[in-house]
Amino acid sequence: MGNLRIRSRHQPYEIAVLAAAPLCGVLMLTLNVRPTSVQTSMPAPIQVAWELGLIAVGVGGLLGIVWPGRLSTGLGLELASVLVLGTITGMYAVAVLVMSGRNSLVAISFVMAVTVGSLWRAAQIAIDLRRLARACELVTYEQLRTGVT
Amino acid sequence: MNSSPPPAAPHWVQVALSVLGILGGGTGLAAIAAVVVQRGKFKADAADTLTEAALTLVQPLQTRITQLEGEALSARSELGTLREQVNQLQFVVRVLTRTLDRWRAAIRAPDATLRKVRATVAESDRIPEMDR
Repeated sequence: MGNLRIRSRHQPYEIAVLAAAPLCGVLMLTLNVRPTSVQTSMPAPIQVAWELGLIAVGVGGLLGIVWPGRLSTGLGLELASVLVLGTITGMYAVAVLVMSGRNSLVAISFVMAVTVGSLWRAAQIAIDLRRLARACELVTYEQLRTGVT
Repeated sequence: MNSSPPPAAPHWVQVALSVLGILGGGTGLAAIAAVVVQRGKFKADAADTLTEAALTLVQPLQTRITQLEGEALSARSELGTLREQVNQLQFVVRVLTRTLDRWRAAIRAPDATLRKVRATVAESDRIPEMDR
C-alpha cells in the first residue's frame, strides 16, 4: 500500500489570515463601517453576506483546524472555509480594483495572494481527503485479508 | 452603514460580484455537504487509520522478527551442545596427554625393562575406561 500522508494543518499564513478574518468582520459589525469599495460595488444583501462570511470563514476554518473529532470532518470544515475565504477575498480584490484602479496595486496584490493561497490550500485538502478515503477502504480490505488488528 | 450612499459602481460589477459571491458560498456549502454525505467513506477514526496503516506496514517486519528470533534460539541451543562436546573432548585430550606422559616416562626411565613398560601400559589401559 502507498503511504498515507496528510499535510500539516498548522500553516502559519493560513492561520493568521483565518484569525484576521473574523476579527475584521466583528470590528466592521460593531463599528458599523464598511470599505467604500465594497459599498459601491456590491448590492446590500451581498454586502451583509460578505461581512458575515468573513466571520463564518474565520471561525469555521480555525474550528476545522483544531477539530478534536474525526480528521475528515475537520478537513471538510477547513476546505469549505478556505473555499469561501478565497471567494470573499477575490470579491474584495475586484471591488478595490474597480474603485481605485492602478492606485491599489499593492493592496490588490496581497489580497489576490490570499485568494490564490486559499484556493491552493483547498486543492490540497481535497487531495488529502481523497487519499484518506482511499486509505480507509484499503485498511479495511487489508484487515479482511490478513486479519491484522 | 454610511449615511450618504457613495456613488455606485458600474452595474456589471455588482452583478459579477453577486454571482461570484453566490458561487463561492455555494461551493463552500457543497464542500461541507459532500464531506457530511460521504461520512461513511471515512469509517475509521483518524488515529485508528494511522495506527492501522502503520500496523499493516509493520506486519511483514514482525513476521521477520519472529523468524529471526526462532533462528537465534536454535543457534543458541546448537552452541550449547557444541560447547559441551568441546568440554568432553578437552577432558579426553587431557587424560590422553597424561597417559602419554606416563608412558614416555616409563620408557625413558634408566632402569626401563620391557616388563615394567608392559605393566605401566596395562595399568593405564584401565584408567581411561574408568574415566569415560
